Amino acid sequence: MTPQQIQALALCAWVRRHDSDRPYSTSALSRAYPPALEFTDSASGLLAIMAGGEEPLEILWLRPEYPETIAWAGKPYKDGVDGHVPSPLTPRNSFEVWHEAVKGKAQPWTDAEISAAERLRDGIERIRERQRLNLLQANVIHMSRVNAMGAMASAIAHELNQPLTIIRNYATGLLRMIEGKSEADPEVTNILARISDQSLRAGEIIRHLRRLVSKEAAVMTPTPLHEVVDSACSIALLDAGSAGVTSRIAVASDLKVLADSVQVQQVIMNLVRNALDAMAGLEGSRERRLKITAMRVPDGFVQLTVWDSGNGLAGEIREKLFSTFNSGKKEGLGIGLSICRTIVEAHGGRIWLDEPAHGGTAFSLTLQEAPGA
Amino acid sequence: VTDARLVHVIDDEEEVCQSTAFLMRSAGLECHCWPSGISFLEGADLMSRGCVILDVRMPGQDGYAVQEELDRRGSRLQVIMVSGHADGAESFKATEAGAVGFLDKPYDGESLLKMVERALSL
Repeated sequence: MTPQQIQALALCAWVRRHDSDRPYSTSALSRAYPPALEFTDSASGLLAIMAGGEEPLEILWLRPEYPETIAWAGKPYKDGVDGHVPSPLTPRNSFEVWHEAVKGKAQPWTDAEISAAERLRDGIERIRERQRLNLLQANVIHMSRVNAMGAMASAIAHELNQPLTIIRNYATGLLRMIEGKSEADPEVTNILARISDQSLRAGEIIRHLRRLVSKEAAVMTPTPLHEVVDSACSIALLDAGSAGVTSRIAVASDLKVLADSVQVQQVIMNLVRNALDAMAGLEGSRERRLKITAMRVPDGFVQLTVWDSGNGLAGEIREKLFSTFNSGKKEGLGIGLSICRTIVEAHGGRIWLDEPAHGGTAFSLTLQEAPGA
Repeated sequence: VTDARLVHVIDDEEEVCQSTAFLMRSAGLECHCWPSGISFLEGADLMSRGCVILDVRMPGQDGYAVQEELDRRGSRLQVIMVSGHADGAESFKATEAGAVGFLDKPYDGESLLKMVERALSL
């Protein structure tokens, strides 16, 4: 690095110590920052803006030393202090403009310059925020795909266990019924035994699949719930469907849960998107409200509720709500809530549909509170 | 004495109830089916002896809530929990809650019958 670069970096670090929300400006840098005495000729004035985030950014404008001229309406020092009486008419002395050069000062920054810098800074912050969200969204979509594979496999496995149980119950029962009878056809007995064996085998495949899924599963760490909710909402509410929706998030900042934040974020995003979808079809006059609340419940759990002011769910949809491949939406796949349930249960919690007294639809889920939170 | 041979099956899926009842009858056991925890708690004689095959995950009251209610009312019914969504910790949780047995769905019918016989003898 050249000496100039080192000086510039040191200056940036010093600028950072100031309030990053507002431009910093001075027309006498070396007074606030003595090391600048070494380069007053190139940088006596400084206007700086800072943007935060993971990659902090400083933009500095420098002004060279400018021998500032103070124009006095006459010589500021009285003639005659040294004793002699001045002549009443000394035009060349009294009206001569007095020049005083001040070392280390630059031309001051105008209000227009400072406010332009401020607008630039706000613009940069907005672009960065947008980029950050886009990146986050892309990550979540990627993670969702990876996770969705596992969660979907697990969700389907769950659903298959019911019919397999039924097949096994019938096969085993039939086998017992005919085995005691002397006229039992050995071929029938044999085939019933095979039906039973094959359903057992299917069950083993499912167990194997679930073990694979749980291997890559959840990294549980104490996670502030409001952070997960905020990031899920900031992504879900980017969608067009959020237009005209008033959202209120009331999650205490001291609530920490044991969670894989990516997975739980996915669950919350899913619930928020469902809520937005539920309100998308409402007539224009109806209010669209989304409310997310959290509270501590017994046995060391935290309950999170996502409520929307939509029309609620019809009875037949409610019953099969969490089943795989069952969707109440036209273009829905019917795996969203099923995956949500798989994830929540892998976290040791539960998820269910509430009956909100004041109408609308509410989903609640529980997660374990992080110890010592 | 016949009371002691009574098996209750509680599962929100009717076909699971029916097939389990069929399996119980094949072993000479009388079986009652209930579609939910509430219907069971309201309709069954909780003070009689017998055994309950209880699904862990049901809408509304889950298996643990039913077990808790049985304890609260001082029921003598022995509980076997079954779950199609179990992970490793579930069987531990079930026995801790007071179940005398736990099985993953799909279970082997003969194992369930053995467990039921043992529960009925308790």
